[in-house]
Order: sequence, then structure tokens, then C-alpha cells
Amino acid sequence: MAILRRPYISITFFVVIVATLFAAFRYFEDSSDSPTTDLYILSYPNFAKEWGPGPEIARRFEEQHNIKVRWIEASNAGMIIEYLAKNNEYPIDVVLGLDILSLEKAKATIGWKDVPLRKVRFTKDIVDIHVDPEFIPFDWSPMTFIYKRTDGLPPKKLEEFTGEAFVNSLGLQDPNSSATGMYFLIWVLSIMGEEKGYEYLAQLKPSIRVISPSWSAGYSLFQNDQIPYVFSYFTSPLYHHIVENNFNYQPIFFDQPHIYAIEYAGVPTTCKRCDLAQKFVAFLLEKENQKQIMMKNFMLPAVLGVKDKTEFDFSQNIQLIRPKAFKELLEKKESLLERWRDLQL
Amino acid sequence: MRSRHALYVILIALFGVYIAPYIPFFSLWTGWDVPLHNLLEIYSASTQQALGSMVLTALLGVLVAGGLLWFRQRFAGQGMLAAEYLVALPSLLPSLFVIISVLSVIPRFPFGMKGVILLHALSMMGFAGILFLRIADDKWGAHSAVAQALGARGGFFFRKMFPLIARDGLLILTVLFFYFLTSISIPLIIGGATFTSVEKTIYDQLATAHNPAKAFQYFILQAILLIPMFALAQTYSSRSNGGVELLRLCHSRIGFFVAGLPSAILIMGLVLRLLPGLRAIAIYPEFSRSLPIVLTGSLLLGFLTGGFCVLLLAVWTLLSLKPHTRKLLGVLCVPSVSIVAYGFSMWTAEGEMAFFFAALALTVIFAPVLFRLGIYQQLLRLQTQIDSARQMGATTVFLFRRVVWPQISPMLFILSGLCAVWGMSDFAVSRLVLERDWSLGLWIQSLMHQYRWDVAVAGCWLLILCGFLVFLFFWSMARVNSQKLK
Repeated sequence: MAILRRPYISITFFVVIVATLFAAFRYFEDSSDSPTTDLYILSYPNFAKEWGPGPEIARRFEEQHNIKVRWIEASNAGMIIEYLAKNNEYPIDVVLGLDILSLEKAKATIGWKDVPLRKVRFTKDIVDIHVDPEFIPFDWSPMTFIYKRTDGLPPKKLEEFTGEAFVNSLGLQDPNSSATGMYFLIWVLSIMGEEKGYEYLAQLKPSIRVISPSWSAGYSLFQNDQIPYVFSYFTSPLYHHIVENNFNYQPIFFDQPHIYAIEYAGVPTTCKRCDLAQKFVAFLLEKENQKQIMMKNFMLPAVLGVKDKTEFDFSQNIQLIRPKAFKELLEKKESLLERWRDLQL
Repeated sequence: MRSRHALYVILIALFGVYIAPYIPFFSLWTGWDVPLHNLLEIYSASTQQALGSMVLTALLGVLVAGGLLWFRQRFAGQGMLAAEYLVALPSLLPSLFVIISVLSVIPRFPFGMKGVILLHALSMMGFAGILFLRIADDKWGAHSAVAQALGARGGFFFRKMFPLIARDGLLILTVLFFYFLTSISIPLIIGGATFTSVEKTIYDQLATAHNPAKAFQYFILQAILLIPMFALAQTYSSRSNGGVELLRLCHSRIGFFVAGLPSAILIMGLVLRLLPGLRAIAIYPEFSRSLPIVLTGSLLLGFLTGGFCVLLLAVWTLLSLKPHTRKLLGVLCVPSVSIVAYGFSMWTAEGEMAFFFAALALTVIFAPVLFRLGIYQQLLRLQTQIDSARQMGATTVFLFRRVVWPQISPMLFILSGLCAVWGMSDFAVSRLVLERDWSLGLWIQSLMHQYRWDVAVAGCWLLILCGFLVFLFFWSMARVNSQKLK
């Protein structure tokens, strides 16, 4: 300690610490992430992170094609498009994680290549919706409210949520900032019609406990017993069943048609390794990789037959909303949001 | 003459660092298009929240100060130091930890404005209590022995002596108001979509609507409101009365238990999830594989932030020795964390060099608050010595090196250590500048987004450990400098 009393020695000591940490950081970063990567994939963290399905699928692809895959992360579909709109350091070859809500904006922002697919049979639930050769669905899930079995019996119809039993009990997401929030808004309007839908939302006000800015914030509150019902993916409880062995989390099967989320992959026209990029998208749809996505991303596989006889094999009991109604409402997204804001929920 | 010019160059450089983040926004300016009714609504909600948080924090803070006084009379020295750190824990750790813990421990916590006010108060009351106690020691200490000898009672003493602390109390209240008005993590999660503040609107415009030009319009209005308020509050702060410790008067046993409550909730919340988190880290090797990068990244960010903070606070102190530059410095503040973080992200470098920009951004954000809450009070205490030295012909640089630095450096290092810990645990600013999960704060935030709360809490404990190591370094420097003084 006494030696540090000389300022030059203490400054040198500080510089040595920082330099050592800098060198150590570079060492760990270089050993975890090769700088000679070839194929750049832009995706959201839950997919690209080591606990997501991405790294394992990439490892298999690397072995087959003798190239390196490098992941670039953006927090959600909106940020993915934001990233693509900028001139970035990395030339993106594949984009994973666009959703139904963001496809139009993605098309308007940059150009996309067609992705040729051979002998892929999509699951019948999404076969009517997948019409675009530029965007290939790789997983999907219906959406609903999730509850805990110990919290009592759930409703069968959305209208029941306006009852006294559900006062201050719902967790929704803000459609202005969250894709799941937008799904909820479209769900209500597609089931009830626009006018009655907004009337219903106004009546729902006493039942809403929180409108969170994002799905993760809302779901976290639900997990922490702050909200009895949260709007989420039908497959969300499967994470608790499989990873935590906790069967208390359950999805509500409504008697009404459910809305659904589909995730898409695409190849921008600015790609550098376009051939490999198209192969990677096709590779995502192979059975092994679809299983990996199902078990690590906790979404339903897009390809027929993958989920059969697994915990994920439940969607045949779920009625889905008509794609036409969905698309019509999506075209009016801005005016729908305006009316949502006017409700001041 | 040359040293005077050098001081002006340093002053310009300091202002440059604070102005740099805003420069990219000017090129995005497209005219004024924020509707007035919308503006009034947001400002009204924002001000109500900040005022409510400030009042509740101040009331609880006074109680905490009484509690700490009660504790000090029984356990002086290291015991008191430990108690102060424990009470300040919810303010030292990032708001995210407080949110996780409170939601883990208290079922059905209120949301919206009520929840925001309550959580703000829970997280800052300990820190406010310590600051109030420091002022009370400083301003009342010399009078308390006399009052006690004359048999004055606590309530009477408090009433009569209140005017002595009013000015400094005003500075603390202003800093608290400022902190709550610009707070972002708690309003984002606890406020939900029903509560809107100016800072939240700025954040939404940047992160959701991707409209930095509009965000900048809201920022300008917030800056117009805050900067003069800050400058005025600093001007009204008064000189020290000697820095004698306050005696038994005004202590409160209840206050001691109130003081410990938020820390108890925080620790309980973190303990509850520690074991499942460690288990998950052990089961999934992918979690442990990320650790070397995030640990070294966090330490690097912490040391750099602390180092920059020492430099910035030292420069700020040096410039504050001149009365007219001190007035100028009164306006230096960060009216919007989101805008500054976004601004720095536009200047940032790629690769590991981004750590320097992240550390600089974090220092720029935290330093004004640390200076006003810590160094400024010390400077007021030294004012008599400064005046005497000036009378004897000391130059500003000489004054700084021989009179001010030896006495101020222990606190400056402690505050820089605190800045380093805040920097390590930050996610909002680092996310914009670093972009990848290179620090524990960012890693924890990613884990929470992927609803891996247990692992996130285990990460919180790692962060506490790393924060302790970095703080220990700066604390050692503070000790070395205080020994030099002896």
C-alpha cells in the first residue's frame, strides 16, 4: 500500500491493470469468435445465443460446407430492419427472425432474393399463409393467455375477461412498442370486428393490471406472480415444462380462433455469399434443425411431421384466425394504433 | 498567464465532452412537430412522478438519517461504515436488481405511477438518508453539543436548526428530483404503458419509433426545465459550519429498521434465486462459456469508467476553484440519459475500442451527480482555506495541488469507485455503445429478456463480486491518499 502513495506508481499500476484486462478480453473474445468467419447471419439474441438453437445448427452447417458462420444480433424484428437499413460493417447474408408484422417494412427497406426450396412440406397450419418465395417460415406459434394452474379456472371466451373475477389481472403488451401487443390488438379486432373490438378493449380496462412495453417485461412480471394472466405464445409453458419440470404454467385454449406468430428467414440482395445463404435457409428446414429450433426456441416447427408425438403436438386442437382477416387489419396498422392510443388504457 | 490559458482550454475540453453527444442530433433536425397537448400531458405526469418520488424519498431519507444516527451512537467506526454501505446498497446497485428483488419478494406490487414512486423511494432512501446525515453533521454538529448540554429536545432542535440545512437540503432535493425525472429503468418496467414520462417518451422515440429528431425535441424542453434549476440550487448551497459529528439529538430507532428494509428486500430477492441460478450455470455449459468474456469486459469497463471519473472529477474540481468558471460549471448536467447514450453511440468506434467510448459516456452521465452530491460539499467545507490561500497569492493550480487535492482526493476516489460499479452494472448506455454482451450488466439484461431470471440473479452476484473488486481498488487509492494527508 505504501508504494502507491507515489502518484506515478499508482498511475502505472492502474494502466497495467487496464492493459492486462484489455489483453485478457481480446484473448477470450478471439478464442470464442474467429475473425475469419464467412457467412454473416443477422438474428435476435434468443436464437443466436449459445442457449438458443442457432449455434448448434451453425456448427452442423459449418461441418457440411467447410465455412464459418458469424452471428450478428439485433434485439427484435424492428431492430433487425433498422440494422439492415444502415450501412453496417458486416455484409449480412441471412436474416432470421422477421415476423408477419415486419415483412412489409422489410420489403420496403431492402431487396430480397427468392429462396428455392426442394420438397419441403410445411405444416398445414401455416401452408395457406406462406405465399412469399422471398421469406421462408422456419417456426411459428399460436398465441393466447398463459396462466398458472394454481390460480384457478381460466375463461373460455375473451369476453369473460371483462367480468369481475378478472379485475386487475391481465398483463398485455403495448402494441406501439411490442409485436405481441400488436398481435393481441389484431386478435381482438379480427374476432369481434373493428368497432366492437375497440368497445371490448374499453370495457377491458378494469381487468388490465399492466401494459408492458415488451413481451419479455410482461412475461417476467407474470413469472414473478405479479400478473395472473399474460398474453404470450402458446408454446411458452413448454419452456417451463421441459426446462424447469414445472407444469403449473398452462396456455388457455379459447373457444375462439387464436392469432399466431410466424418467424421468417430471408436472404437480402446485398448478400456476399448468396449461394451459401440460400442453402442455409433451406438447411434450417431439415428435420434435425427443425427439432433443434423446436426444443431450444420453444416454437412449433414449420415443417410437417417434426413435432409428432412430442410435447409440441397440440396445435391440431387450436382454431386459427383467417389469414385474410389478419392481412386486412395489418394494412391499417397505423390507424389501429391511433385508436388504441385514444383508448388510454 | 499561461496557466490561466491552460485552464480555459481545459474548461472548453470539459464542455466539449458534454456537448459532443448532441452534435449528431443537430443534423437530424427537421423542425418542431410535437403537439402542445401531448407535451403538457407528458410533462405533467413526469413532474408529478418526480415530485412524488422526491417527497417520499426525502421523508423516508430523514427517517433513515435518524436511524443511522441511532446506530452510530452504538457502533461507531467500521461498523458504521458497513451500515452505511448496507443502507446505500439499493442505490449503489442498478435499478434492475431492485426491480428483480422487489418483484420476487412482494407479490402484486402496484404498477403505474404509484409503483414508480414507491420503487424510486425504496431504491434511493438509503442514499438520501446518508446525505442528510452528512449535512446534519456538517451544519448542526457544532450546535448539537451545546443544545444537548442545555437540555434541548430533538423536535425543538430540529425546528430551530432547520434553516441551517435548508439550502443544502434544497441541493439534495434538486438532485433527487433530477434523478427521478430522468430515471428510465423503473418507469419502463413498473410504469407499464399507462405511465409516461419525458425520459420514457425520449427512449420510446429512440428505441421504438426510431425517430431521434423527435426525441431531441423532447430533450430540448427537458433541458430548458432542468439546467437553470440545477444551476440555481448549486448557487444557494451554503458553507460548512465545521464538520463536527452530530450528537444524540434527532436519532430514531424506527428509522434504523426502515433504513434496513430495502436492503433486506434486495438481498432476500437475490438470495432466493441464487441457488437455481448456479444450478442452471452448472447444467448448461453455454452459460459458463460466456463468463470469461463478460467478467473481463466488466472489469475493464469498471476500471476505465472509474479512471475517467477520477480525471473528470479532478478537472471539474480544479475549474470550480475559480468563482466565474464554477458558475459556468453549474449548468453542466445530463438532462436525458437516453439522448446522451444514443449520441455517444453515433460517435462510437468498432471493436474493443468501444469500451473507451462506453466508459466515457457513463462517466459523463454519472459525474455531475457525483460531483454535486460529494465533491461540492467538500469544496464548500474548504472554502475558508481556499480564500486564505488566495489572499496569500496562491495560483489556482497551486491551490489545487497543495490545498484542495490532498483533502478532496479520498472522497474523489470513493465516488469514482462508485461510478465504476454503476458503469459495470449499466445496460442502457452500454447496450447502445458496445452493442454486444461484453459486460455483466448487458449479459444480465439479455438473460432477463430471455426469461432466464435465475441465471440473471446468479450474474447479479458475480457483478456484486466484480464491483467489490473494482471498488476495493478505488477505496485503496482513497485510503492511500487519506494516509498521505495524515
